[in-house]
Amino acid sequence: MAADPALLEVQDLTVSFGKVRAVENVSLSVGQGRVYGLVGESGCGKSTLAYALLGLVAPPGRIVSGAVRFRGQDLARMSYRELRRLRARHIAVVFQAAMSAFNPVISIGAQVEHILDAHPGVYPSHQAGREYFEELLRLVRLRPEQVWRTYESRLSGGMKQRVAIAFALLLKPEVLVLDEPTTALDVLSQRLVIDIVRDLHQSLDTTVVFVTHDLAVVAELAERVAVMYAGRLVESGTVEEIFFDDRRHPYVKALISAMPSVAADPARLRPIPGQVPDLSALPPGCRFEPRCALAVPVCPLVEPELVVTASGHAVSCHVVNSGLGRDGGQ
Amino acid sequence: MASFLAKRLALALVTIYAVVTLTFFMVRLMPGNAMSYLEAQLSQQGGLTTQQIAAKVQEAYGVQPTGPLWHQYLSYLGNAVHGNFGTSILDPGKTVLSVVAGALPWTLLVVGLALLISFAIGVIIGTLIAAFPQSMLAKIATGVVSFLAAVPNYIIALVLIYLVADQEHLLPASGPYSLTTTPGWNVSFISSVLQHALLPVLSYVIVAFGSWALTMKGSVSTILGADYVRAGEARGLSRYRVTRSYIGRNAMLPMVTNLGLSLGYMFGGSVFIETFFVYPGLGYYLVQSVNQRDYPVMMGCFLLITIAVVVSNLIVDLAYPLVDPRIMSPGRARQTGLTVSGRAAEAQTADPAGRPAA
Amino acid sequence: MKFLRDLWRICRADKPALIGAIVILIYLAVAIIGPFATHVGYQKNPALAYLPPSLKYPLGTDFLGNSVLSELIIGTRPIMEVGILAAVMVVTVGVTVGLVSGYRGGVMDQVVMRITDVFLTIPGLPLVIVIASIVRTTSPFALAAILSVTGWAGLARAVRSQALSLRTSDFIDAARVQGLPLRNMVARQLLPNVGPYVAIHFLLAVTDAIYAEVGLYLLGVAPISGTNWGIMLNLALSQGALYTTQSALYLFSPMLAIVFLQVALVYFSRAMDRLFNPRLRVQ
Repeated sequence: MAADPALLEVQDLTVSFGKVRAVENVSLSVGQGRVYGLVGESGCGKSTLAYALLGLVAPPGRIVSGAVRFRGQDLARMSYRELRRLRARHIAVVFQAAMSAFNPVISIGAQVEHILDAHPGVYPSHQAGREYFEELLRLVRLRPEQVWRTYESRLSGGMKQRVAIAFALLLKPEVLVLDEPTTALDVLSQRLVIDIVRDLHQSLDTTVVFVTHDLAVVAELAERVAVMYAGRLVESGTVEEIFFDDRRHPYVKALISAMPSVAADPARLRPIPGQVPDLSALPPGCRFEPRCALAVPVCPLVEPELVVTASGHAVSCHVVNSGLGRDGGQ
Repeated sequence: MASFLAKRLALALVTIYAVVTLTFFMVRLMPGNAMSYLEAQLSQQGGLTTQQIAAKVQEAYGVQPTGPLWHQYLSYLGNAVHGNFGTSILDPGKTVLSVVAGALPWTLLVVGLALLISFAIGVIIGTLIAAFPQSMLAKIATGVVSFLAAVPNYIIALVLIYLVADQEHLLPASGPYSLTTTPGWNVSFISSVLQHALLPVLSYVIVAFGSWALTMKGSVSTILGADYVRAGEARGLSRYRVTRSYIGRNAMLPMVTNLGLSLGYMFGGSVFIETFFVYPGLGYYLVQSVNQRDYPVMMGCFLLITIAVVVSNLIVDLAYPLVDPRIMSPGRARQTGLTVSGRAAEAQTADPAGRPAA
Repeated sequence: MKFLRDLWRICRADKPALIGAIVILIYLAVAIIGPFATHVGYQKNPALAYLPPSLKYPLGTDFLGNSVLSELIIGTRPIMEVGILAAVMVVTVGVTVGLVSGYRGGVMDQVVMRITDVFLTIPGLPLVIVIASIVRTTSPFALAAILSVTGWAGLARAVRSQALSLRTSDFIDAARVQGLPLRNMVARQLLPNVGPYVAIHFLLAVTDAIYAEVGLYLLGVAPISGTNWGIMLNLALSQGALYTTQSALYLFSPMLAIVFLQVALVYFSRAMDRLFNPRLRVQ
């Protein structure tokens, strides 16, 4: 399989919110130092999956089955103490819409101190930690004196997003998870964030997992991509495979065609008809079938298997996979 | 920061001034007003010249009944600043000031204790209900406090008196302390004081803790779902830290804002509680003087109750920045070079879902 | 109207609110019909005093020999009359002041808000007692006016902040561009937005007014005329009802009458809160 050892591995993970399965039987592996993109529409479960990577499933959600392994250790089985040591130190997250990711009544600097308090082994002194944080602030193009003593209400949305990135990198984690890093930002801020993430990945060799519905960001940043639909993983592969390969899931193909291009003829825009299914009333077979142009009689009856080729390109579709053996060979 | 302080102080002074003025007008101008009443009474008695009547009235009210109105007003203000509010009509030897000054500590004691206790209980119960919303405890507690918060506190007081009518020695239902002890810093006096304060405080607390609990529950429930709480957990902070600085501090904000309003209600409720328990506080004397037509004392009590409320509101206002440091003066923001989003502490007025104690 | 259908749906789900609504309706009915259905005399009739409950006197009799139940029924109207009147006054003044001040803004707004702050801080009940003792009145209107002397301030403040935030909203700008007069702006643009909040506050204002009103009679500050729950309690207390069990019904019946109405109003106001605040419905 992949040549690099998997740093982060998700095995058959299922996360439920009561009767609704937000994530169902998803498996993927993130290699060390890679940039991994999680793509899908709103409500497809990608955010839930991303938070599960930190053991941070928001109640009333719970992990019903499967495992999330960081360096071989299953997060779902760890105690709160062990998770605490893991979080921010080894795996860090930047929340979607950092608008409310900061405690409103405590200054930004004080919140940094809280992190340093909670992870005493990382820096020899608070001063050292603060200096590194200020370096990070400069990396994200912010002035340290603007940020340390202020409260979050005085920062703009774009600024908060960048401060959030600095927070996430403070303890030099191996994995950085970003949930919708460019959504709700103006175009200039989006550009800035993309550049920052790329620079950081190159200079610090951090493993990056980011969740987005914006395929343009995927095209710019990702090396490997996983596409989710209605809670299931429908395709995963390299970014070239996702964008150009012949053998792709119909949903992925349709997504790419739905992207408007500045240069192309607007008449060629082709949206995907239909709607995302209701997660509490799922059909037994393929979930994309009602909207799929390639559907055949077996599709709504049997859940398609995820078939992986030798290069690691996995697709879950009856039609596209027909003609392939179980191991992906012809 | 300084301008915030100054504004609040100015408001307090203006309010006190307004009340003093209001009192003057009620004394002098309202229909059936007190001074004319006294004048009529004295002249009916006979045997006094008009000057003597005028002098007596002035002594009682601290205001000359004759002369132009603005003159009376100014002399009233002058007297007020010196603490001269006249003398009691019923007991001419006593100045109004001595009566109300003696009554104030008792009201402060009962209201203060009641507020502390009901606040503390409310915080605990409200937090528990919010933390375990599906539990039996939560459902019972919510039902009970929803009911109790709607009951008038004087009814609770009457029920309590009715129930303990036979237990005078254990649960005294009248007086501030037992007559067998001597006032002073000794154990028997202090314990007697506390014993006598028990039922009055209980009357407040039974009704009030429910409102605090409901407010706290609403506050904590909202905060629990906040992103920054999850962000705190995501950063590996300890449960203690998250509970204290991320959930706790933010949940307390609306509670502190309601403190001021609640104090106003509680001082108001003292007129009932103190009357029924024959507890010599400001409320008691207010009602007594009303029923005895002793208007100078009545005005004095009203004035002092209002001043007590204004001052305690001021204290709460000044303490608020300690809980919510976002109240900063524009000058501070200029230092950091950012524009001010200017969050002022708009005192939350009666929130329908969480009314403070009535 | 959709509003009524929503209200019905919430009441069905929220039992306390439904009970509250029914209880309020019962009280209203009693208030309106009461004086026609029964009557109370003021002559002392020792032979009939403090009788235990029976078919003729379901709640027993008082010290004058009157049926306690009759007194309760007759006493409902004055209490509710004044309560509702006071709430109407509070809401009218509060909303008007808040809307106009918030919408106009500027110096006038600042001045009005300072005045409102002063009224907000002055403790209402002592002021009411003082005024009521000087202006001894039995007119329901005057009494209601006295009761509402500070109550409007809280509502004014809240409505004003609503008006302030609405003032800068787009649809107000659109209306202004069309040149609509102030009257129209206030009535048709702003009012519907503050409506829900005002409705809830109205119910709570009724509870506050009843609390204060009964309290006034209870303390003997308001002149005694006719009969109502507060007067019943006052007379019961002066007859020493607290210390014997003989007149327990006479003492507790008005108390229960008051408590049931207050609780019903508060529960119902919570349903209204849920009606207008869909977030709360999930709970």
